[in-house]
Amino acid sequence: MSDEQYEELQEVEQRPFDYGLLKRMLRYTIPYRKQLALATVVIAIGSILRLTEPYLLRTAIDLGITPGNMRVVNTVAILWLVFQLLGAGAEYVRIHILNRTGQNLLYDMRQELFTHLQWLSLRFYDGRPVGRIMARVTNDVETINDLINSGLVTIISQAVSLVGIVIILFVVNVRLALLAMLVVPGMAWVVVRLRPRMETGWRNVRKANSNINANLNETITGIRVSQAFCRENTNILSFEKLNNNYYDAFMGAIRAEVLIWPTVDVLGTVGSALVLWAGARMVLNDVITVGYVLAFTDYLFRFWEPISAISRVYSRVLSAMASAERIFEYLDTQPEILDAEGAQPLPPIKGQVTMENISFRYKEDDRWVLKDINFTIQPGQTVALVGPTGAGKTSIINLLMRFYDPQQGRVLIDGHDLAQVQLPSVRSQIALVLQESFLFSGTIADNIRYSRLDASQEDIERAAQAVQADRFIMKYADGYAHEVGERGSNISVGQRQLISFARALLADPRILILDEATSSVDSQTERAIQEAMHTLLEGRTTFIIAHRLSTIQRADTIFVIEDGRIVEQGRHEELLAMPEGRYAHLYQRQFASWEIQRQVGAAEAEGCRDIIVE
Amino acid sequence: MAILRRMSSYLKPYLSSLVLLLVCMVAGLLAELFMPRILGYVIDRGISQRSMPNVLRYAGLLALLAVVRAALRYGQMITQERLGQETVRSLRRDLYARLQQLSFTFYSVNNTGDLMSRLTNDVSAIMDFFGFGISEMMSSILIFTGTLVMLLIADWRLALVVCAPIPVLMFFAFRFSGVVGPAWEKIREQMGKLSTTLQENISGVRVVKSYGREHHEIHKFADMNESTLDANIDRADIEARTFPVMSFITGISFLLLYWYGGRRVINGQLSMGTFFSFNWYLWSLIYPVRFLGFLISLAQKAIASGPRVFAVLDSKLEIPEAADSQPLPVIQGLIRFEDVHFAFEDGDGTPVLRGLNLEIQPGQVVAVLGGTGSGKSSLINLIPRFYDPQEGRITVDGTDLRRVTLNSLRQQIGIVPQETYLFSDTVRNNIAFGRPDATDAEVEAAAQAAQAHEFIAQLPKGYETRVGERGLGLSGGQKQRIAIARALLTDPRILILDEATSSVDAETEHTLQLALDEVMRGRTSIVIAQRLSTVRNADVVMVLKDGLVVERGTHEELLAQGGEYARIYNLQLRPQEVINAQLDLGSASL
Repeated sequence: MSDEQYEELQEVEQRPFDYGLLKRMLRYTIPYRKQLALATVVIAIGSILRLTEPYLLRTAIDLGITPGNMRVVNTVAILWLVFQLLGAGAEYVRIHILNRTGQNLLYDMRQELFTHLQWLSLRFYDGRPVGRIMARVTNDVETINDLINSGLVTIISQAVSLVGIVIILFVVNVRLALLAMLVVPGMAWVVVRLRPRMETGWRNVRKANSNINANLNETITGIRVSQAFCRENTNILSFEKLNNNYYDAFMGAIRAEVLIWPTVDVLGTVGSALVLWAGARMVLNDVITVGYVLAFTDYLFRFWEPISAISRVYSRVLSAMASAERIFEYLDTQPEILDAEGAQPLPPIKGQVTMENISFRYKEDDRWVLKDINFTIQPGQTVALVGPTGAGKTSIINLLMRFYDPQQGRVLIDGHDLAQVQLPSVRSQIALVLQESFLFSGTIADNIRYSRLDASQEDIERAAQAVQADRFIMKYADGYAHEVGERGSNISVGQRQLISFARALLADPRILILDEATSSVDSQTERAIQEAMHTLLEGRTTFIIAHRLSTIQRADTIFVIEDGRIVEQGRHEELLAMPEGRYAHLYQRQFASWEIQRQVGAAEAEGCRDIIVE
Repeated sequence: MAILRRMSSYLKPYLSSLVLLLVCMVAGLLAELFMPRILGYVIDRGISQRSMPNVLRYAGLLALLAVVRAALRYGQMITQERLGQETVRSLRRDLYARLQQLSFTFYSVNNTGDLMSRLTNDVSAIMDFFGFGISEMMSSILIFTGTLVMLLIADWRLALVVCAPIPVLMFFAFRFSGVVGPAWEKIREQMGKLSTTLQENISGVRVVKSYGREHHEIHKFADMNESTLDANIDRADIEARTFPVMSFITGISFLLLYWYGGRRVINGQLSMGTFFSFNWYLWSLIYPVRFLGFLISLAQKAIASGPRVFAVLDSKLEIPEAADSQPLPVIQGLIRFEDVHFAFEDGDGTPVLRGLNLEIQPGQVVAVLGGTGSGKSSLINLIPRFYDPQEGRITVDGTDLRRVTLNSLRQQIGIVPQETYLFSDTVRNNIAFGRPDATDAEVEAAAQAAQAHEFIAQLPKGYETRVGERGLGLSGGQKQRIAIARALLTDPRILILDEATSSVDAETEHTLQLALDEVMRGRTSIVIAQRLSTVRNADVVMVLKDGLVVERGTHEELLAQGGEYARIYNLQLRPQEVINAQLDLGSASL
């Protein structure tokens, strides 16, 4: 949890307004253009209805109250009632449509982002904190929804009112209207001046939020280590910093936003006062009536409201844009592992694996992890990969799964170049058992079924039995329906591993890859697995990152990998027979310090000789 | 209401801000209340009396008041946002601190994604209410009462008539409040689930990819996404049904004003100026009421989030520190289990340990063996007090673990778990995890002792190399050695090691063995053993079965007994001997 993991907050900077980004955001509304058009109409109707209110009032005063004509007042009252009903209807339609559209849009965007993430290559995920990715799918998408849900209403309804009012103002009295508009450029200037502060502010808020998420995810996932090492206080301190950063970022953005309202308010009232003053003069000169001035000022007050509202929505637009920028950044990340043009599905394979002149590195400027790897494995063979950590064993497997593409050379399965066939058809015929078993929250059955979604309960149980996982599963009252979570205490690391074995077995793959997975189970289970593996490996091409001599011995071929190359290749006995060989060296070093071998009685060794001879 | 009250307690430290907020609000309101009256003056004393100086005077006053009101409004808004953010900050701080203390039991039943959602989305919902919501509510109440008083003074009959629809409005508001609350609860819960699905998907990306389950995951997420959508649409529909009704009712108030007010003016019971100011006042009266629906929804959203947040804060600390707990002095490392009974609380309650008694001498190396469910893991989790036994007691150097502070206990225990968790940080910081202040030399020494220095030095940036989340990029053996170095650096008196047999390659196996020997030297060590060498090197071998120690002795003694140990030996350990023997032969033939 170093600082480097976190996104850095920026200083305020002046950037041109990004219309491209806004346009792209708006593109998400295209599927809903009918609804939005309807909403716009309804909002417009609602706003126009509201605009008639001062006019009705003027009519009631000038034609009804002043001359003392109660019938006019009554008529106006009825009209008012009708308009109110219409207005309520319009409001219903508006809330209904906009909320739905907003929520649907949120759904679309979230789904698109999630779907896109599914196809991104591992390189994208490597070292990108989980919490940060999550923040974009949840919080950032939400921000955009906020804009659509409430911002859009404000923009449309206020814009309609604004246009209507401006027209009315000018129709009613051009001179008074012009006078009122005098202050508008001043407002525009203030808002434009505040933009960079809001923009940077909101961008920082999104980053700070993402950082909090990253920290949360990591501390929660690693809580056991934290508690074991008494890191609680240190964690709290580092979170405190992120928490404060968020606070500061938010307040920075809001300080700019909040300035808008009073500014508009002051300038607006100044405008109104000007109108009153000029209007009064006109009344005195008998150019207009009192009711006229009143209606005019009434409209005028309604003119400032949309301006103030729209200015504040502007801040929300900026905030949504900060989020959109982050979402689009992910959406624009291209999956590196793509099906080639015209890629065909890989037909059912036998399991021959070939690597031709493979050279590979994880990043452009990294060192080469694999250098000129060449081999062919026949169907059904078992290959043990041995060699020091970091030699390149995992990388070979990563290429075989096509998690990455090599910079040079080809990987072939049954003669098909992996780069030329459809990816799902490759991976569905290969099963990979990872070093650390990962279970999804759900039942045990769900977790086993993960490798073959249409598997029946019998299939699942058979797979579990084959790896002897059924013994512990049946101890639960609810058996296969037992819920396993991220880290339930009722299931041990070894048991998790057995479930992931069953999962791999259920897939019935032609190629099986075991990545250092036969560890950490108790002796009985270990024994069981050894047996199960025998069946599991039977007839499948298997790659094992091996660590257990029994496995290595059983392998048809051992690859000794050092520094990205296969330095030795052959059966256990063959390799051992090479006196200066790396394998023989490794083999000896592993046991050299074990004084115990001398304690092994000759008789026992004798007995063992028999086993080996077998 | 209890939730609301509790949430409000977070505002207590900001009482002065609240007062400031109130002052700004009241003053702003007064300014606001006088503005219509002044507008009335412009007409009655200015235009009607044909006095231009009066028009100027009052129009100017109007502008001046606007400035004052704007300043007050600024103060109010900035304070309200500050309050909201302060609430978020302290809530998050409390939640985070609580999360640090909560025991393993809590974490075994709560998903990371859901917890994250509580600390982000739910806290934000509460913030929305506390910043914006509370302030709006306060000002609404103030404006409403203030305006009402003004109206009553101006013309009480008209005021009463105009306010007649308000009780109806209140009725709708209450009904709405009752329905929208549960809708929000559902949304918050759905968000938690969505977050969990998302978190698992990203953490398990390798599994997803290796089984080509992208489509499955997309569907799974779409389900969650859709449920969230549905929950939100339900809520939106409730709002759509209520808000228009509420605005219609407010429209009736105006109708009553024009109709009844108009009559009174015609009958000469009301002046034109009062009628106008009534019109303006009515806006102030209606606006807060019209806003009511929105505020209620906002409040209900916060109230729905409250329990999710407080559930974390209220989670029982399974491992409480006694009020009079003392720091554990530097220990020798004598460990005793006295009649310990233990069962996991998140499981089905089956006892794992049933009256376990054992004693481990300072400096002893104890190898623990046993099948799955024999209680091995419980045994090692009880010593650092990750769990407390339901019965019996555990002592270190004769002191009951429950009488000492947790930190002083855990600081003297080093743990190397089976699975190594690496934080996204540099190798250096991962090693120094338990002692962030360790010098580079100390870190390096620990790495050297753990046989990790060599490979770390070969990493692109050595100790400053960053390892990704979940330590991607390092092999199992490398991670394990980092874990050993991490434990070593804290120089623990007691070492607990959950041996991960052979998740390492042949070369590492050897170096790891050296590392472990080094780590165990001079420390009380408890090892869940997977290796023959460990068992042979141990001072005592303990075999657990069904939560009891069934055999205890050295390798040779137990082997001679021909019991459980002999069985395990034959099953698991003996094959390792075979290999050794074979090596003998192999080397002999070289």
